[in-house]
Amino acid sequence: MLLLIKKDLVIHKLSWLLYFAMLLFFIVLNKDVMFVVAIITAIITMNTFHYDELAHGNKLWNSLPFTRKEIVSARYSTLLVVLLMVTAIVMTVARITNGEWSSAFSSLSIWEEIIGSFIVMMVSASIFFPVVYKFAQKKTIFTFVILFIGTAIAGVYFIYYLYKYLIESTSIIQSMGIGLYWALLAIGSLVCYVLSWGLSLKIYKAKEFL
Amino acid sequence: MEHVIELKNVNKSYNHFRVSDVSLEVKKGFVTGIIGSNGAGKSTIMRMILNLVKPDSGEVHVFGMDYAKHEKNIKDRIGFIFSEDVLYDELTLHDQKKLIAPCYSKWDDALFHQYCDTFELPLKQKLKSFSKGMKVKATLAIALSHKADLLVMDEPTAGLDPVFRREFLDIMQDIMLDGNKSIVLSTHIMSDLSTIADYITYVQKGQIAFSKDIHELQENYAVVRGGIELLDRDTEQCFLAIKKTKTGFEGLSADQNIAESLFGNEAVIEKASLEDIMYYMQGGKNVAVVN
Repeated sequence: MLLLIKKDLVIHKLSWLLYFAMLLFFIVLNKDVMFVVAIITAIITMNTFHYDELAHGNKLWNSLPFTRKEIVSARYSTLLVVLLMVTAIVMTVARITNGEWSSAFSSLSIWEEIIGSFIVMMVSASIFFPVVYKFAQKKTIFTFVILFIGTAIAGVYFIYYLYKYLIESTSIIQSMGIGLYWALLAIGSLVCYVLSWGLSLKIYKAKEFL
Repeated sequence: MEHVIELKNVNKSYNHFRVSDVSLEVKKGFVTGIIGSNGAGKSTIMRMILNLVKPDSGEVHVFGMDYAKHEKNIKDRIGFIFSEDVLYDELTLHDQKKLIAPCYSKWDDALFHQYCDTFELPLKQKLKSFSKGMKVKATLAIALSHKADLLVMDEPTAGLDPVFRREFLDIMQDIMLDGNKSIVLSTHIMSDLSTIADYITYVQKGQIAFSKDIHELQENYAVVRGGIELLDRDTEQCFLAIKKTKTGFEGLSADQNIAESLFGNEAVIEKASLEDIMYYMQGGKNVAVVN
């Protein structure tokens, strides 16, 4: 399965430079950590699906000595690997900029922003991965790329405004504690991710590669 | 005789098409050609052999194993070529090889470079700059470099020019000198098969019409042409298919000897090519398939 994760990363080739340039661009625009991590991860993840569809990758990798379970599991694992990589780069840049680069929602710490980005991406992937496995084809994959990135951006703002609403209009977060609030969201997203993983496996095992 | 592939009573249904009760045995050490017109079901059978499509019912065994328990073992011993590209355009052949090589237990890097030299494939050039023929050669180099025991090729020469097709067939003949390799090759280009195939399986409307030794086909099948007066209820029994006009007929017979004994010098009797067989069996324009 490590070979498949490596493949998911390697097929981007020089696009990695473009992703890095985009990351720096968003940082220069002083975009929030959650936004930058989520959008860059979303772009990389959906481009992986895109490249695979263009190259009939499903047909190729299913003809090589891999099981369908490994192929799907590798994709779910790759998302986490990419999230960690992008987060590490963003954290490094944040450290270099001496902490001046912070959230527009100043009430969120950088750690909350990072946890938020993981939550957004895991929930977005939970929704889209099974859909892409079920319906995406060479002609339609680009539509899913756009929808996924759009969902990731919408998810970021949903997390921000939910937090803002709960802090300003209710006492839920204050009463449960900020740590528990993020922990519950993280656990919820993890449960979604695991369920989605299982659903994708079921879909992919029944899929036909024509 | 040992079989590398066995399909037993395999069925697969789609909305407007079905593969019905397919049983097929592919012998080890030989080239088996699967022929049939477009949409006959060749590719569906090939995809079931590769587990890209799962049958609704029936059994598929490759090297005596089934995919449910031995998927990785089976695929480790198969090389494949498809009619469409399955390589990443943005990668070089070298990059692509680096991704695929570690997937196989018997990958031989020296052999891969040897094939690349033989096929004159540039390793450092992006695959998007390769011609269709070069891409097929690249896939072939990959398929051969892990010492596959079985090569599964679904319309590998589709869309290629005659020069490359001939070159491709020469390569196939060289591969078969090994003696231990088996090839199953689907195509609707009959001339490709007559030079390399040992066995021919003819697929018609999702069913296997016949599966025979190519020499038996070439020796026995004949096209008979004669006047319409030669046909009656008895002589028509000699044919698998007949095309009649007002004055004459053309028919495909599965037994040249019987045809000769029936018609003697009154009809023109010629050995049937694979293309003839496919044309008549398919029931080409104005051809009536007997029984």
